[in-house]
Amino acid sequence: MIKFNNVQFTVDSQTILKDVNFEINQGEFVALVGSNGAGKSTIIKALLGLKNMSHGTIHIGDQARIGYLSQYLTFQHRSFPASVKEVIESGLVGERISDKEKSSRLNELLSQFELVSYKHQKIGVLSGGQLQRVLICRMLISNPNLLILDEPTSSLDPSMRERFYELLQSKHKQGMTILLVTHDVASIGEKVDRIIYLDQTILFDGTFKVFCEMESLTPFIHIHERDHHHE
Amino acid sequence: MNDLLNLFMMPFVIRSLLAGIAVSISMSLLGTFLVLKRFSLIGDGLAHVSFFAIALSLLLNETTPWISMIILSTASIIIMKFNESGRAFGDAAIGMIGAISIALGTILVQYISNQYVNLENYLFGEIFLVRESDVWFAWMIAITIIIFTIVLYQPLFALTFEEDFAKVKKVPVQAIQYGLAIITALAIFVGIRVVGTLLISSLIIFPTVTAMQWNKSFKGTLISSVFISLTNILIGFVLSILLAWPAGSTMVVVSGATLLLVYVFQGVKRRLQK
Repeated sequence: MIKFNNVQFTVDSQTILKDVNFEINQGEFVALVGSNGAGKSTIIKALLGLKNMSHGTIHIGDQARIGYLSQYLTFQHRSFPASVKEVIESGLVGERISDKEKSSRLNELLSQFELVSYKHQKIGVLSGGQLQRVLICRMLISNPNLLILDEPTSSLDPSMRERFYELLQSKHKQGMTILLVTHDVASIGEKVDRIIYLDQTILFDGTFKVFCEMESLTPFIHIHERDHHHE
Repeated sequence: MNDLLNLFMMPFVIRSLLAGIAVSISMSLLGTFLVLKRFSLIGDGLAHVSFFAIALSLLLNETTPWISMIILSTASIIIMKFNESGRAFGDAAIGMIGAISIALGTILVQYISNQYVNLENYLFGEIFLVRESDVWFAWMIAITIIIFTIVLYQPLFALTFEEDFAKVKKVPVQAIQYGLAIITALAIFVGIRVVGTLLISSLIIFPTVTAMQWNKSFKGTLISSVFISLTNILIGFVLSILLAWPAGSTMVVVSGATLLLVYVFQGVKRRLQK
């Protein structure tokens, strides 16, 4: 469903990505991990067509309906006058869908993510975790079959984070293809099919079990395990 | 009282009022998108550009608005284009283009032979001098903006809230932003006749910021800002006639007073709720 072929990206002669080659098949659940500055967000931006690469090709299957969740929104959105309902429904922009269907999908998501009482609230009054849940609903309302998630759990509390991972697992079981960029490799590792470890280029592509056995990568797991517990 | 009523029946007053209403609808609708995109200073930038455009038109003895419209639309697109390369740079672009335009305009003014040209009208506006053609043009722009907003409401909301998300959803972000740049330029061109180059930004900013004080939704903010703008313009208009104050300035002072009143009222309401 996704194929990166010799992708390179340089800015002012500084290499951000080089020789990136990987494939994600339909129905796979893949975690893309790496330190800050490793190029994870650049890969996501390239995949979504938000950045043009210097070299190489990126292919996304014709049948892909992308659901995208960015990192936590900026503080500017705190003062944005929009209701929870408006933000979630904006996930249906450009789609022809009846008002009845729209409202049924909206209400289902609101109850699934415990946001029913916030439906008409301004997003500015929500906590970071609640706002993130609103954005998850915005992503899901268009019934995507490919989820691209850029560190989606950064502002969720541990229980919500666990529930979000369960949700991803259930979507995966239903056949959804998922690419998840995360630092939280310790929590998610066993739930995904594959881990891709990136540091400008792909240094590892395989299962979590093998990933843990790689001595050169264990410091990475421990560092982020510690970060995770500190949050 | 009768004199006052008669005054309001005068054709030039009716013309001014119709132009004022059209401009307030246009600017407040655009203002919601521009303010929330952190782009409200485009009004100031384009107003400065219009000073240059007007000076050039006068120098060339050109009475049609085409020169001004083309220069303003081009400047508006350039500013938007700069803004794509980074927000801070966009602000700098507005500042630079505005400053150069004022400087060039001021130099051109030295060569204008027409002694009867009153540039003060362009700086502060003179709503009572609008011509019938201005009124028609103002309404054409207003209707275009209303249609633009209704037809593209969902994409406009999506891209105003989060541009990257809108791009992923295949919203033609660039085309819509260029469309927005051009109609903003045209609306500012008309708006300058009402409040002048120095005050045009107020018509973009005040209604939206006032509406944001209490509205919970985007749609509510958009609709409220139109009504706030209309109220401000109408009260300012009547006051300016009664007190013989300059119309544009009176409208801006009324807009500031409305915002202050709403802000204080909301503050008191919040305290009482606690």
